[in-house]
Amino acid sequence: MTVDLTAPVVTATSTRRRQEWPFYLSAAVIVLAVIAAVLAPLVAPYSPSQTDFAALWQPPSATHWLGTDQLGRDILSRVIHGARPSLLGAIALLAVATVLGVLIGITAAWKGGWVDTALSRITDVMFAFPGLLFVVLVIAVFDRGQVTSVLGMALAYAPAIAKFTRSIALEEMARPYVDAYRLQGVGGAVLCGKYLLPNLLPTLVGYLVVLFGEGLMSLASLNFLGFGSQPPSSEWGLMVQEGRTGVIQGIVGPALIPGLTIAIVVVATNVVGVRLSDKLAVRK
Amino acid sequence: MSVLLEIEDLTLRVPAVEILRGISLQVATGETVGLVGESGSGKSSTARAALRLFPDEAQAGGRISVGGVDVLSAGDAAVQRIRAHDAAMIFQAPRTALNPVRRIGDSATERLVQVHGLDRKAARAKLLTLFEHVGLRDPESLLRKYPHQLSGGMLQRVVIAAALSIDPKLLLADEATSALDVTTQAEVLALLKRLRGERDLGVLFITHDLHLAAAYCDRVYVMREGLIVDHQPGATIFENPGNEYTRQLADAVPTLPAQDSTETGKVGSR
Amino acid sequence: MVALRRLGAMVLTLVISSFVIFAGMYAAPGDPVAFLIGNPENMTPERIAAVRAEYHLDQPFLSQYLIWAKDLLHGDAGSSFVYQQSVTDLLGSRLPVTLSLVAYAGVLFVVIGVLLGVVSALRKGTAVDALITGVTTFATSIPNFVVAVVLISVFAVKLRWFSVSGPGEGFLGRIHHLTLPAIALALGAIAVVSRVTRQTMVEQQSLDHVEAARSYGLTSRKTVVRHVLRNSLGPIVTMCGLILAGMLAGTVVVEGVFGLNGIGSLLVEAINTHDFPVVQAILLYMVIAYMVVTVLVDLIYPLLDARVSARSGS
Repeated sequence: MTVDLTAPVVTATSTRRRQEWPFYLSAAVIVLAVIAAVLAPLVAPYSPSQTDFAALWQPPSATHWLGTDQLGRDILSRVIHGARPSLLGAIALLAVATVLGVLIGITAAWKGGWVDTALSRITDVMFAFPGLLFVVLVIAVFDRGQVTSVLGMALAYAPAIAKFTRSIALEEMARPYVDAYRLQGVGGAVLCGKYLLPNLLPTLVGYLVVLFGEGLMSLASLNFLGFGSQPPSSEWGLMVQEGRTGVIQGIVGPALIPGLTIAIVVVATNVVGVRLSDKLAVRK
Repeated sequence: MSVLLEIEDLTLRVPAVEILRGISLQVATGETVGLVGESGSGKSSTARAALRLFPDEAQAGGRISVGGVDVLSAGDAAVQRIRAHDAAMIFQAPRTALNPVRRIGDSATERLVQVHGLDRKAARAKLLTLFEHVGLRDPESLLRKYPHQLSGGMLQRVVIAAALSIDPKLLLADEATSALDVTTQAEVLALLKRLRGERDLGVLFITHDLHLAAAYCDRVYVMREGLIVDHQPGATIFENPGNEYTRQLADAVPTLPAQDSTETGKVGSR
Repeated sequence: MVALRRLGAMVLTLVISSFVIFAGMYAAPGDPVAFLIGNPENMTPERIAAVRAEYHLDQPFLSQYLIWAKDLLHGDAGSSFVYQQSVTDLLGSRLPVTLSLVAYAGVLFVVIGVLLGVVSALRKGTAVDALITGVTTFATSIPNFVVAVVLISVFAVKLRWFSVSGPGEGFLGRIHHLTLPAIALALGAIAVVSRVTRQTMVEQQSLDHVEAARSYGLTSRKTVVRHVLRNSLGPIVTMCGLILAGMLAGTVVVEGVFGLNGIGSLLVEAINTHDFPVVQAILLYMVIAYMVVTVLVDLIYPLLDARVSARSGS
């Protein structure tokens, strides 16, 4: 069979170049957001709560690169400081949901039988609820705030993670090494934690990175509604809410800048997440 | 006896890969011609090329003529006419060749109704006769069934009946019996043979199974890596293989269980 | 048999969710009596006792739940602490806005989403496909409240094509006023539906029966409609149903931004004013709406793909 060697090489490099730059750009965006969150007081030009009533609703200028809001606060500084509650909230949400979901998912897959049936039923029922239900319940019982909104959202996300974990755990358990360990007398909990879970992690991580973007958006929505972080926090969703009064007057910066920031970070995590899942899937 | 399908020096390449490297073969009315080779040898591509069924990016050279029409240079309408009237293809797996979400009657009459413009009633009447002809019982109720409710053998009969419904002159049978169990395979082969006799069909019979081809076909072409490497009358191919590769193929099948050609042959199927 | 089991699961879900919802409101801090009486001067022991008896607050938890559940079955969801009005009437007056908003958004995301998906599947690998995929990927990453703010600032404030808030008068007026909210609600869904459509169609395109149809001369337009698109309907309908179900429960943000007096804004208002009967009723409505839509999808699916009923029946 004659094979033309030049053609495939050319297409391979051109497609690779087309696929690689969004990944690096996205990774850079994430790194930037993390730097902003960690070093906020050092990199932000102003304090996020420093008001200036002589400079309300200012358009972008040399002194305020992204303008000021309804209290004359510097928007750039607020967005930079807002990275903390925004990103931390999403991380916490995912952490809680993952612990819950993975525990339920692995237990269901490992124990099988009635345990699996019961756990799967519960997750199915929880899955059948709109996510907002949990949030409203938790907020109604424990009052609004960042912690309760995160916990409520975590309850809403856990069933999906549990379902996902259960399905990949069942796949993994079909592999011979699981039986090998079991025959050696390795206990269920040890086997799950020490051998099974690490093998699930690659698949799980890609999925979680994509979920992170969704979680960030959900939390921002709650904050926008006023159920999460409270003023004077500069959480991004809350900033959009506070900037809305400007929009009616034609001043869009204070609402749109944090809004776009959310969108950019979410796009970036999605691109990275999809890329990670592909890469890890290939390695497997 | 007139030539139905004539392929001369056919080459086919999709970017960077040469699939066919100069194929020449003929099928005339009333004869069954075998095309044998392992998977990837290009036998399916050859059959599909007869109906100009290849990817857009593929480049074909040489000449294919079906009923005197040059398939490669003809306009879309002429090719459409060949597909609709002259030649019919039977695929390997009847279960996937029929739309799984539509009723048998719907799928089997699609070419008559949607392509030939027959009204639904006439198409169904024609199908019912053909169903009985290919040995399907209770054809009325079959029309209302879905593919997943029928066995593989029944489905292949449905596919054959649908193919015959347009009264084609040429049948392109691409591993038409490979997916069936041995008994059903024998039945379908007998059916095809009978129909060929009755209708004076030309059949291009594609298979990976040299023993089957030798027993079943008037002439056999052996393909390897996009080339025809051997061409013999079916009856004499084992006594007088024209090529070392044919001999290897012949020897490759363990002959101990005399009838078990499908089981062992599965290794080579797609 | 299948229908019975489905019905049983539905009832069970309803019982559990109603219990959880009621328990949540019961556990919520704040004595409802204080809200009910309002004016602190009227807080006499007799008045308190009377109110507690009237709202069954003197009963133990379980019997309170049972009373509530029994009343619900009779279509009585209690009365709002704030509006002093029957909750069912209140919901009834708010429901039309929400339902028309969701219906409008539903039409938008189904039509546009499927259309974009079909185009990018048929033009797979071309610049058009890349553009649609890129734009839809970005669209799913913008929270709908941001979309809403952008739409308002461009089309309502700058261009003045639409009013900033309110549901509008008459049928055409309502359509006009609901356009921006419906777009804000539908944008993410359009992206998801177009991606699902594209993916299933691309998978379907390579199947044998599609090539078989081409081999007997079916035109490519008919092949797409009768085979590729037809066989993609199952996943598409399922996805659209799930999104619609989520929307019925998820109009909260969009209604708030556009000042629409629907169920969603009522929920926010009720949470803020601790109007528990209203919160309970809305949460229950959300569960029921979600359930009804998903069950409808489950019922439609076997009509689109008979293999499903065969599988679940065995």
